[in-house]
Order: sequence, then structure tokens, then C-alpha cells
Amino acid sequence: MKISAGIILLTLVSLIGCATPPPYTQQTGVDSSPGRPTVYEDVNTPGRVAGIGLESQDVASMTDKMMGDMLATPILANRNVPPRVIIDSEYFRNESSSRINKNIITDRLRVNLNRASNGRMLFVGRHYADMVEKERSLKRGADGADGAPVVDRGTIKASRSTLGGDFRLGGRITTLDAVNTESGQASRTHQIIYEMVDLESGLIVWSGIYDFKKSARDNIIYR
Amino acid sequence: MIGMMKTGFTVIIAGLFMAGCATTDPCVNILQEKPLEPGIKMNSVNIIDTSLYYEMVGGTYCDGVRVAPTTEEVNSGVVTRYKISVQETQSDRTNTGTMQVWTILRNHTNFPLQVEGRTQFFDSHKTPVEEMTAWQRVQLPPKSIGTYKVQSTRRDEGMSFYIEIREGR
Repeated sequence: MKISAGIILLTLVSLIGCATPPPYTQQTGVDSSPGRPTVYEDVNTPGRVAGIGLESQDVASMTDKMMGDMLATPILANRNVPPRVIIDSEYFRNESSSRINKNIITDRLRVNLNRASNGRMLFVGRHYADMVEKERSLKRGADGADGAPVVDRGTIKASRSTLGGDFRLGGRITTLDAVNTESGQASRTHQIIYEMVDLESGLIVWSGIYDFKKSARDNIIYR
Repeated sequence: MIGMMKTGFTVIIAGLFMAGCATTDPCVNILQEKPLEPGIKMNSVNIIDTSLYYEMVGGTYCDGVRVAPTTEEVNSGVVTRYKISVQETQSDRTNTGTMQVWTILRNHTNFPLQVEGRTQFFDSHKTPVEEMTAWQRVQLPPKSIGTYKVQSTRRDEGMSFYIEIREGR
């Protein structure tokens, strides 16, 4: 019995001896222990931080679906003369309760469509219009030495005007929200519509819709 | 001294008891996962999530020779159990010449399921010609069907496809 009590006492003393603060707090008093390391995650899969808003897997999934659908539409992707298309966020409106930079949707759609269409559709960079105009005025103006243009004409054949668009993307993000005040459970239905508009007649030549509903006890902030 | 003798006796009894258990039964019931098939089967649907579809090749082995599964084992669902099944898979060409594939999935459970599908398209040389599509979610109501449909962006001749299905996350 005496021996057992002695062993217990010795064990306790040993354990207390182990409970010294770790080395990283000893010198400064500040806990500088390494935090959780950054991890890469698949953009096509819900990550560790997920809520009821519009997220990366939704953006990837819907732009992929819209791209395939547009390329299967003859008026857009099977014309003898490839149409000139403008895809940007100018007329793509966010009227939803989700905070999102619309450009992440329209940029991904334009870039992937441009790469995949392989000349079946031509893309006019209207969001770069001021950049193009600035360069054209430098090439054509008389602000240089002896009234000459500031820069030369480059190697591309000059044109009187820049390209006009045949079709332009419009769209809207809308949501329907519901919250259970007792449980804090929130749900949000997103509806994202895409429409390609004929820039001469105003005719909508193609439409696409993507919707989903998520619910969670939402404590995620989208920034 | 008496205490030591008691301890020794206990150890001997326990040893004999354990040795008695070590008889070898020639027939061993083994359930093992079906081995992965090498390569990709073109124009097919692969349910990659074992929570949706889990196929077992197993049963009773006698001296290394498989003598089962028995009819009872198969009927009891030990060999193959699944939540969803592929009802039909088809492909055709859209009006612009791109490839369109779809697969009809059936939910065999009594509760709604979400699954996700993605597709890799290949050219006639079995070379991947596009990036794998993004995961598309498909809702499957209880005991009902849902369709996963996807279009390629290219219109090459002789294209083939490979679809992967997993449980929605």
C-alpha cells in the first residue's frame, strides 16, 4: 500500500514537471505557435468555409453549363460568318442578397468560351474600349514631333473604326431568402439568368438559367 | 510464494485457453472490395463514390479457392449494394456538331439524394481533348430518376466520353 502511494506521488510530480510552457511562449510571453497551414482546395468542390451564398463551385458549374449550351446554339456557334460577341458584367446585374463580384462569372465565361469556341465566335473587348481608343489616338494624332503621331502604326492593318458587336450578354442574379428565427437556420435560393441579345434588333437569341437552393445555420461572411 | 504460484497457474491456464482458439478453419468467409479495373472504359458511367455503389467480390474461400457467394449471399445484398443505378446512357450531336451526352440515374432509396457528375471527352485516339467539365449537381427524388446532361465544346469526329458520378457534397 505504501509503495503504491509512493508511485502515484512520483507520477504526479513527474507530470507537473512536464507542464512547463512550450518554448515559443517562454521568451516573449506571446503565443507564436504556428497556426493552421494554408491549404489549396478544388474550386469545383465546396471548401471548408461554405455558407448559403454563391461560391466557387457554383461559378465553375454554371459557367461550364452555359458555355456548353451556347456552343450548341446554331445562331451563336454555327454561322458562316462568326458573330462578334460582347461578354462583360456591364449588363449583368446583381439584384441578390449575395455579395459577389460579377466579373468572376462573366470573365470566366468569356475566357473559357473564347478558348473553346476556336473561332466559331469572336469576342469584342468592350471593357478595354478606352485602352484601344487611347492607342488609336496616339497612332493617328498629331501630338508628336513636327505634328507627327506619337507612335507609329504598328504591324496590324489600320481600320477606320473598331469592331461593333452583334450580340451582348445580359443577365441577372436574384435571390429568395428565408430565415428561421428560432433555430437561426437560413436558406437562400439563387436564380441566375443569362441572355444573349441581338444588338441591332434587341431580340434575345439565347437564354440560360441556373438555380440552386442552399440552407445552413449561416455564420459565413462573404467579402 | 503462494501468490507467485497463483499467478503462474493463471498464466498457464490463459495460455492453454488461447492456444485452444488457434485452430485453423479451412473455409474462411472473406468480403473484399472489387479490384479496380485498369484503364478507362470509354462511353461509360463510373460511380466513383462507394457510398452510392459498393460492389464486393467475396464469399467463402476454402484453401484459397473461392466457393461462394451463395445464392443467399447474393439475394441478401452482401455482394452488391447500391443507392443509385445507371438506367441509360446515350450520346448524340447538337445542331452545331458538338457532342451531347446524358445519363439517366435512378434513386433506389426512400430519401432524396444529390449526386454530381462530370465528364471527360476524348478524341478518336482516346486523347483527352478538353478539360474535365465542372461537377454538375443532379437532384434525385426518392425512388425516382434524374438526368445528368452535358455538352462538349468541340465537334471532332469519333469523340468518346467518360462520366464520373459522386455523391453531392
